[in-house]
Amino acid sequence: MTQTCDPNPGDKIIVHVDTDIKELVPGFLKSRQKDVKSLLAAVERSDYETIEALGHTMKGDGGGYGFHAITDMGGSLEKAAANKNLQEIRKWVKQLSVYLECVEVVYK
Amino acid sequence: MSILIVDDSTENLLLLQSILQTGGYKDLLTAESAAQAFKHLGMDDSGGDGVDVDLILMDIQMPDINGIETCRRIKEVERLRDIPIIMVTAVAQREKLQLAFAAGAMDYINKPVNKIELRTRVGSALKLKQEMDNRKAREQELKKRTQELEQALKEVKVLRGFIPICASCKKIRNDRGYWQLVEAYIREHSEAEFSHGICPDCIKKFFPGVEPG
Repeated sequence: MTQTCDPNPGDKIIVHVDTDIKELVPGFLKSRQKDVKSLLAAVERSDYETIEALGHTMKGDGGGYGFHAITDMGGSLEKAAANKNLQEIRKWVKQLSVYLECVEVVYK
Repeated sequence: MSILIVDDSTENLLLLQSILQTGGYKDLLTAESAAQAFKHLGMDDSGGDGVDVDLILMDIQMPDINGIETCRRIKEVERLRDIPIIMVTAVAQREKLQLAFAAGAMDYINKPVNKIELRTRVGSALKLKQEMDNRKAREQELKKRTQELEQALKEVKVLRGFIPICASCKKIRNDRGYWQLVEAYIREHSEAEFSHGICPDCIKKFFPGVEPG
């Protein structure tokens, strides 16, 4: 179900979001970009607790804003952190980063 | 009716607020931690009374004090016990939910939140709270009326049953065991008053020369 961005430049992932929460979306996406930085730092120090917590939060929040892929990736990060699987964690952090670069919001 | 939303994720707080506000629920309070929630509810040491809240939406996974423990502590406070608490959580484990219900939660909603589900469950919970409040108000009224009635009954003076009366002097033995004049007894036990006169037999007896009128 996770839709990730093909590395080819110009690819976009369209996400349809409820217009009711239009004002909240930019802040949400900005926070996810901060999360990527936090996750990378946590990976460097093998801080699984932080990674698990961030993954859990993304899992809970993503779909509510219309970004179901973020929910999926958050869940995967949470699970990988619980299993202390650094390889998996790195993979999902990369996926998240690429996703955030490719996502384009259309309000409905 | 007011709703308190407790979640350590600012984004989720904003989202739930937005969904509920556009759904017509305007009286919303937020708390980013159990400590903030306790403050709103007057459960902290500040001495404040807290605000009246009709429903609490509670995240389970929070740092320091989690949602389950927060729920349990709220339910320990008598004046807050009847506030319905709905857990809003990405935690899918059955054990956690069982613990939440054991702590006093009445329902749960999965994260990520679906706006229709959220508004429907909130609506049902608030309706239930309203009905509980109405029932409590009726019970209080009934209790008050019963107390007033009992008091009134105590004050009602009625003569009933067997009355111990002296066959000679006609004194009556009262509840305390003392013999008292019949007038005194009747005055104490009824609303009657006396107007004194003399009967024809007593006029003849005590005033032999006087003709009864």
